[in-house]
Amino acid sequence: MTHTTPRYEFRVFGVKSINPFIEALKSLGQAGKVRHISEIYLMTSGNNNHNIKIRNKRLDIKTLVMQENGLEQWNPEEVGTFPLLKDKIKNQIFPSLGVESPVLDRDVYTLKQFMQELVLEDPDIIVALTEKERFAFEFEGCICEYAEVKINGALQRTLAIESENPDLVCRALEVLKLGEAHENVNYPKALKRVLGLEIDYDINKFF
Amino acid sequence: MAKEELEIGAISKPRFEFRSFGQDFEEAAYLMARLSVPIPKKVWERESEEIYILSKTNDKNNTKIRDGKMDIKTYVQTVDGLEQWNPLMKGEFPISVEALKNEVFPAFMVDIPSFEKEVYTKEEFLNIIETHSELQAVRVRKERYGYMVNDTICELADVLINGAHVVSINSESTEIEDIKRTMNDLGVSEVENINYLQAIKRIIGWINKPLAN
Repeated sequence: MTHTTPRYEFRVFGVKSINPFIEALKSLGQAGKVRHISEIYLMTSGNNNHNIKIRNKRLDIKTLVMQENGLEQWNPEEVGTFPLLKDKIKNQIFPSLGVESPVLDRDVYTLKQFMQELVLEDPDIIVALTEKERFAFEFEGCICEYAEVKINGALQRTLAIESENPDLVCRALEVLKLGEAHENVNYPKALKRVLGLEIDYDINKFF
Repeated sequence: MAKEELEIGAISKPRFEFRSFGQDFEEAAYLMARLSVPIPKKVWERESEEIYILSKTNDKNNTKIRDGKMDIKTYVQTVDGLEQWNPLMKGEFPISVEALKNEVFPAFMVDIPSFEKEVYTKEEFLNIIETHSELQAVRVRKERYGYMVNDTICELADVLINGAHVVSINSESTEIEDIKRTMNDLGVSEVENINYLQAIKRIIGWINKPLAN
């Protein structure tokens, strides 16, 4: 079922650096479901406010509603399940990607046709295939998770805290000692960094 | 003719190489460690920070910056699935515009931009790369663990590509049969040979193919 009330979210990504926070969550939180999920993210360099992904042939777009006190609020919107009508692709998906829609020859597109004829042919769209192993927790009244995420085969870890109540998220961050010194990195931003779509003019700072 | 004795880190004839990338080479890594002869301490563990320059139109030249030097290797041939690469140039930064025009940009196989200076620092060079639509600078951090199996130079590496982790395994030598024997001994004979350029292009989404596992 799609969650319809926008939640406030704080998320971090890393490889080894976030392990202490994961251990704290495992120790203090109440463990829930473990889920294995495969998703296709559609990425462009110009899009920062839409999280566009396909899971089990269903395309969802989350839109960044607001940023407040270091937290982000995203609004989920279910676009539909493939096959999708060309009007949805032209008027909903491509505008969210921030790239011009190509001429659409078909009235309806299967997922395979959409990927092969529209996405993989477009030099401005980069695909991130993700395999996630998600470990859910309840902690301080928030929905939390940590996950092992393979992004086109390369691994990162992520930890997220979400709630409709921003005060609960802030409280959970405080208990985990997470937040002040850590950047809130959403999925599109993390993927763009791995894909190199977020131009890093300060690349020298790493050397 | 006697085989050339390989020394890790030393310059030799162009070597053939098996390399692959994935998440799990645990069994092969265990065998590599057990089958290795002792090697010099200085190559037990090495760390490096490198910038690979990826070009959408080039799969033939491996171009990277390491230790402040532009380092280009060029693909020579594939024999029995093993790739042979040959060092093409090493250039120190600041680098002359002649070197950029005549050696570096031709290796990218892209249109050569117009240059306004005679000499470019590494930062200025990277600014050109970042604004070129066909090129991308990719951050690579390597932790490499060296071994020597069947007279081939081997390594297991933890590699961060733009911050995301993969494991790489390799065996290289001037002698093809030694590499094939090593691949067999390590149980990776059926694993796809994936070089650094291919692995990075797959991870950054320029090639829609998976890694080895």
